[in-house]
Amino acid sequence: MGQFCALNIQSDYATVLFVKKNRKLFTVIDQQTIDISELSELLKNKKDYYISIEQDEVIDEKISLQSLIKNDSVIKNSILRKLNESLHSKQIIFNYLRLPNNKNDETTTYQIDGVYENEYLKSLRLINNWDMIKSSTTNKFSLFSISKQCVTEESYFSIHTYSDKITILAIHKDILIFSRLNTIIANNAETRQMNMVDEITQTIAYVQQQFRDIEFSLIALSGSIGIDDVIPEHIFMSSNLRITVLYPNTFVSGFTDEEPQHYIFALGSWFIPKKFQFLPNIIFARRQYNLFSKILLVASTIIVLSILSFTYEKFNSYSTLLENYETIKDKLVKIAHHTDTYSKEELKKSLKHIQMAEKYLQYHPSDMTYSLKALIELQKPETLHWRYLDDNLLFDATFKKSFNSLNSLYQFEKKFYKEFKNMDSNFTNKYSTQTDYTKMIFYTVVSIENNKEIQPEQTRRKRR
Amino acid sequence: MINIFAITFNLLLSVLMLALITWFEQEEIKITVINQEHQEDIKKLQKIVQINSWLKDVVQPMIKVQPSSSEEANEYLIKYFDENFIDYNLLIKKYLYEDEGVKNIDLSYKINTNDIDKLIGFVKMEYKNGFLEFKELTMDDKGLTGVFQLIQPYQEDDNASN
Repeated sequence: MGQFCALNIQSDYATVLFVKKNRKLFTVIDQQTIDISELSELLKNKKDYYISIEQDEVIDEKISLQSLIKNDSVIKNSILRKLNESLHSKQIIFNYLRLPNNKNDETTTYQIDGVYENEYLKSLRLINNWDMIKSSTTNKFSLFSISKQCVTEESYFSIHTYSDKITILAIHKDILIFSRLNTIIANNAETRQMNMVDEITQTIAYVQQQFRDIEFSLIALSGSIGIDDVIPEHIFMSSNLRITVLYPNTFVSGFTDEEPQHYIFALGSWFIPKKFQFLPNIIFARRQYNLFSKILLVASTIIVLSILSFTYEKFNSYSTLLENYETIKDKLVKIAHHTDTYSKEELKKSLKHIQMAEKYLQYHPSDMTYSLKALIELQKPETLHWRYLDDNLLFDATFKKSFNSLNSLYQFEKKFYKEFKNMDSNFTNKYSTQTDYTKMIFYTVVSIENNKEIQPEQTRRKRR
Repeated sequence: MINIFAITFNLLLSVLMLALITWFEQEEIKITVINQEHQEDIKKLQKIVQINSWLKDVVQPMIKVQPSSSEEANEYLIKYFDENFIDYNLLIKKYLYEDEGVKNIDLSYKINTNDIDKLIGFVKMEYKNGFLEFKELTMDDKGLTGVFQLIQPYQEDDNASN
């Protein structure tokens, strides 16, 4: 809540409290009584209004409906229909409260409290910014709420007077069971005092008679009567009930002892539960609009932030890619700058020379000999014959070795042919064996031919 | 009303940012394609640099030392023969002949395998002015025999090549 304004709008003036909330403690930081014409100016740039409005005419009815009716909108419509019979098409704002009844009762009685919309809105229109209205009710319910905050008794009367107006409430178990608003007409102060005492004592007697099973234990006074010495004494003598004065100073600071009595309705305005508030539909609509727009704002802000984050990521990725592009471009330009260019004539000459080299250096005996490296390491060949004629290449290598035992011949053969299998396969390799096992002489001719496709990069070798 | 302005602003901002994201994505695709092309170009250029270097270091020096006429090519081949015929027992197998703009000579050789130094020298032998192509090589207990061909390219003048 933080800081807020508590207002009591009377017919021609208004009392305004500027309150600061700190946990459960309230501090009145400023208090003003002003003409109602100055109200809108005073509330300019102020937030959160809790309003109590004086209404001379209010609806205070009890209406019975079939107990079977449970649906809220049906109950509300039924009540409105019944009220309309006596309202003569006057627009109203009302709340209803289900009064306790027996389970077997066929009807349920509802306490109807309401205000006439036109008169009520006349007071509310004194405030320009309706979005800031947190709560609005009549003085009766403000008194009821502040009484509940101050008094812990089970059954008691709460009486408030200011000027000629008297508000009398009978409260039982935190339920408002009776209320009466009256105006005293008197020519002088003495008559006014006597009339006031009569009015109060008669109302108390009436209530005690109406609610015989309830034992009222206390009368809580507030307003001008709260700081009066004579009237409370008369009331006490007539009713024989304990008299007390509402003293909100325990939870509301910033007042001198008797000061709160001037602001009782304003003080009660921010303790009003929803069921006792009278807010026109337009305020609900504005609240819903504000709530919806806030939700939309939060949602759109979340969306914007999410997209912003995604955009930032994309921007980063784009920047990195752009930097990469610049680096690659610079590298390309640098390499292009350092790459020599040759004339067509020069390239033609080079190409011709390369083609010649390819043609004449395609094969060399040492390449073939090298492919037999593994076999030569096993046994030095007896003869080598290499021939290249008309693009046909033939290479023969004769391997001959004598052995003292058949096992050593066998082991050698095994190793020799294994190495032969592992030879480079770019050429066609084959062998013919004429080993003399009687004399234990190994004799094999390994032949390599170029009748297979040759990988030029692997086999070509330059010779100048 | 401020909320509505803020919501409208947020929505507009969202739309703008979405458009920006789309633009970034499209630009990223374009840049990625360009980068790939540049990378490929760089690889090609690097290859060209390597080839250039090879041309400069290997091919062009060889072209530069080529004789400028057929007669000069003959002289080169004859000079080679004279310089080596004793060491490797060279004999003329086929005397100077021309084939597709080059001069050739076929020579037979015979080297004793016991003479390791000569054998190694022969294996390492190069013909720096042209090409040396082996036609035949036989190695047995008697020695190393065979035939090779010397190929001598020469610079043809423009009239001749045309």
